[in-house]
Order: sequence, then C-alpha cells, then structure tokens
Amino acid sequence: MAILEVSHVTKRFGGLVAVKDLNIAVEKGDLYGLIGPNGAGKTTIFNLITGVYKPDEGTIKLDGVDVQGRKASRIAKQGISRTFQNIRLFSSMTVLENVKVARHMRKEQGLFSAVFTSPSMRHEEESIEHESLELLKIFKLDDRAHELARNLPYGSQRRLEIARALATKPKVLLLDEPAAGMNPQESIELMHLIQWVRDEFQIAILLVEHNMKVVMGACQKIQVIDYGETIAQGSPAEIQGNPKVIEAYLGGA
Amino acid sequence: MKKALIIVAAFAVLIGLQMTMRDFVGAYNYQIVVLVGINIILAVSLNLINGVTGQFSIGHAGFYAVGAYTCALLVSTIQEPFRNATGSLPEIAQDTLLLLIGLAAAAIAAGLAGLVVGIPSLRLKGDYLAIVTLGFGEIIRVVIVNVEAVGGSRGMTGIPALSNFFWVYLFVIVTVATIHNLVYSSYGRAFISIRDDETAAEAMGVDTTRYKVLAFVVSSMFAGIAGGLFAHFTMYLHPNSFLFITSFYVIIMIVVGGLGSIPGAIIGAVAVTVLLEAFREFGAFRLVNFAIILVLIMIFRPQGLMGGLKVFKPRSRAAVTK
Repeated sequence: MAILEVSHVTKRFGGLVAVKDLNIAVEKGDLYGLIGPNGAGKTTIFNLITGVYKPDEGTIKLDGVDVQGRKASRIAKQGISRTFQNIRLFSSMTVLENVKVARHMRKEQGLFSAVFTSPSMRHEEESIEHESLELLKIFKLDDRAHELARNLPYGSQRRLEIARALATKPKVLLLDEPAAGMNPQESIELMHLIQWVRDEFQIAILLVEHNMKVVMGACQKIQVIDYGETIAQGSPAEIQGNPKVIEAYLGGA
Repeated sequence: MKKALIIVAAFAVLIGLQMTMRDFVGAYNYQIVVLVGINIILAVSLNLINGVTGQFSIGHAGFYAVGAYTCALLVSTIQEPFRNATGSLPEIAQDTLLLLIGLAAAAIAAGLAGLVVGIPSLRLKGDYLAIVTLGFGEIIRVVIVNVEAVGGSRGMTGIPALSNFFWVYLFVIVTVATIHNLVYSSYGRAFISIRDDETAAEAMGVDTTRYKVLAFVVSSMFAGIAGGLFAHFTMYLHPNSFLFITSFYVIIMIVVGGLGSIPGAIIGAVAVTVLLEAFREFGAFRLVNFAIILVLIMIFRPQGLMGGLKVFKPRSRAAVTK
C-alpha cells in the first residue's frame, strides 16, 4: 500500500483551478519526482499535502490515515516533512538550534520541567543535542553548528533545511527544488545525498525539481504536471520520450 | 546544593536591603526603586510576547490592571474575616499569606484574560493583533471606570500596604528566572521559530497558535502579578494608571533595551523609569526628551542597547549536564 496517497485532489483559487483531480501514490522507499513547467502547480501540491492549503476536493492519506484539511503542525507530527523552494530557515538561530526546533514536537518534558530545569528535562535536552549533532554530521554541517543559520553559504543552507526536515523523523519527505541555485558539482553531490538519505532513513521522498539531471538521475518514478493536471507518469526513460511532455516543455506546433 | 545556597543568599540580601534601604536613600528614591522593580516585571514579561515570540501586543497595561484590581479587591474583601480566622498567627504571617493569595488570584485572573483575548486574536497577524490588544486594554480601563465596587473613576482607596521592596524584587527574580528558563528551553526555541518564520515553524510541527497563546498567557500572568504588587505598594489604584501610555512605556522599555533580550528588558525598564522621574522638572516637555532619546537610539543603535547580542547563549554540552 502506498505510504502517501493523494486521490482526486482539486484546489481552486477563485476562478483559477490550480490543481485538478490529481492522483499521486508514493510507496515506501520511493524517490518520486514531480516535474512540470513553471506555474504548473507543483508547489501548490506540496502546500496541499503539508496542510498549508486545504484541498477543495479529494483525499490525502498518509499511511492509510486521512490528513487533508488538518493543521500543518498536525500533519508534520504525523510524519510528513518538507523543505521550501525559497529557503525558510530560522535565521536568528544557530545551525544546531534550527535542527533542535524540529525535535520540539517529539519531546516528552512538559512546561513545568522546562521552567524548573528538572534533571529529566536536562537529560532530554542533552539527547536532543546529541542526536541533532549526529544529524548535522551526516550533512557535513557539524563544524558550523554554532554559527547563525543565516551566515551559512547558500548550498549549506539547502542542506540544513533537509537536515532540519529529517529531524522531525518523517515517513515522507517533500523536497521543493533542493538543487535550485546549485552548481552542477553540488547538484550531483546532492543527488547522491538524497538517495543515501532515502536508503538510510527508510523513507519515501517526493521531489520537485527543475534540474533534469537531478530528477532523471535520482528518481525511479516521475510524474509530469501541467496546468495542475497530470500529463504523464512513468520511469525517466518513458518520460523523456513522451510527446506530451516535450510539448509542455517546448511548446506544441 | 549550590542552588539552595543562592536562594538563601538572595533572601538574605533582599531582607537586608528591605530593612536598611529606605533610611539610606530616602522615601522618594525608595519608591522609585520599587517602581523600577515593577516595571522590570512588566518589561521582561512583555518581552516574551513582543521580543521572543515576535507578536506585537500593545495592551500590556490591560493585564496589569486586571491583576492590580483583582488583587486589591480580593484582599480588601477577605482581609477582615481572614485576620479573624487566623488570629493566632503573627501579623507579618497574615500579611504574607494575604499578599500571596491576592497575587495568585491576580496571576490567574490576568492569565485567564490573556487566554480569552489570545485564543481568537492570535490567529491574526501583525497589525491586527496590535489593534485587538490595544482595544482590550481600553475596554478593561473603561470597565473599571464604570464599576463602583472598585471606586470607578474616583479610584480605589484603602488597599492594605502589603507589598514592599522585598516582595517586588522577590518577584522580579521569580519572573526573570521563569522566563529565562522558558526561553532557553525547547519551548523557547518554539517561540523563536514562530518569530523567525511562522510557516516553517508550523511545517516543523510547532503548533503556532498554541505557542503564541502560551506565550501570551504566561506574559499576562506576570503582568497580573506586577499589578498586584503595585496595588499593595501604592495603596491606591486609579484607572488613569492603566492608560494606553502605560502599555506604551513598557514597549519603549523593551525596544530601548533590545527586543528579545532579557537583560535588555531589565536595563530598558531601569532606564525608562529613572529617566521619567529625572525629566519631571521639564514639566510638559518631559515626553519630548523621551522622543529625542528614542530617535537617537533608532539612529545609533536601532537593535536596542542589548539587541543583536545572541538570543541564545551558546551552551556547551558540559553546561547542559552541569
């Protein structure tokens, strides 16, 4: 059974139908690519899945449980995490603290043990710190753990966003253009990192990306969206030969 | 062990100062010192909403008023029967109990007011929240003016003198310690994440409405306690003590000190309170001086005196384990 199942989802903004009768089924361990021309509705789909927008019609199921229409924080708790197209780090916090925030919802200590700095709370803080540093090590950010997030170079900020998303311990990870603004070398490294993350954390990854090298290289399944509708679906090879896709990208005769 | 020693030392210092200070600095200066303490509680608590969580509340005087009147009314009402029922206790013990009961009620009432105002309005952002909190502050004041039981516009008299330097500064310590521990905990990170980026905070599982309301309620409770301490120190309450300008002074304190910084809020509270007194001789021009100071700060240090310094102290792992 699919871990993330989007069925017949429609979203309208006034008269504009941004997403129309959309179906996506992501299996556990999938690296699933979502592509399409600018304005096709890819980011809207992400916002629908993560609860930023509520779908007008249709259902979104995570692990068989309906999540559509819930608050974004509830959905995050249930196991969908994401990164943003335009990086949204907590800029006044350090790199380490950014990751620690993602651990907040999984903490067990209550308000009073925080106010009285109880030993159990300190113990928990210690384990959060330890785990967060481990995660930063994977993304080669541990040496800058105590720097402010906004002072990191662009590529590192992208990696930090992925690290932060993983810190929520998701079942499904949504990456919104992770390679945007990266040079070819960085993109290839990122591609390997994404594949490695999928295998290591045993999660499904849904990827929106413009860099075709990254998408074709990393994903086994690709779905092409245009004007909010699915126009093609299949393996990278199938997509590359699909006339509809070529038309959407290059314009038809 | 070390903690217990610090607490004992703090009590000793507070009691020592309480017994000697008034004779040493004179009644006028003593009063200013106490007002400084009350303003520190107000500034440090408002800083939790405006500085740390990044919401713009301009109705702090409303919660301050709720606390002040709740405490004064309750203590004045139960004073007689309470003293009769506990006749065997020495007077100082009775005073202490009465004050603590009153302050607890003040904190609860102000906290509830914060909850009632916060739940609907914290779904709003920025300017809208400011308008709602401003309206709340004015509503509270107008209600007080029209309630005869608390003296209406004539003010409330005959409030027993229970609060003093010792109590005010004890609660300054309690407020600063509580809010400090909160800000440097996982909760603090949740608050700051809301300030930095609400969408990202929500995506990382921080229930932003809930944490905004939490910050609002905690902040209101301390404003309520400040109100109770004020009521039993001045022994007289008047609705004009809770005008919009009172909220505004508290905002100036935290802006001057540096939004988000607890030491900044303390320094701001001291500076603004002392300067307000120092400028008294300027009469009508008192507030003009303030405007000049604010303009100078905005030019030379727009982030506030302590602003721009790290919100989080870098904590080595050794410090966490202790």
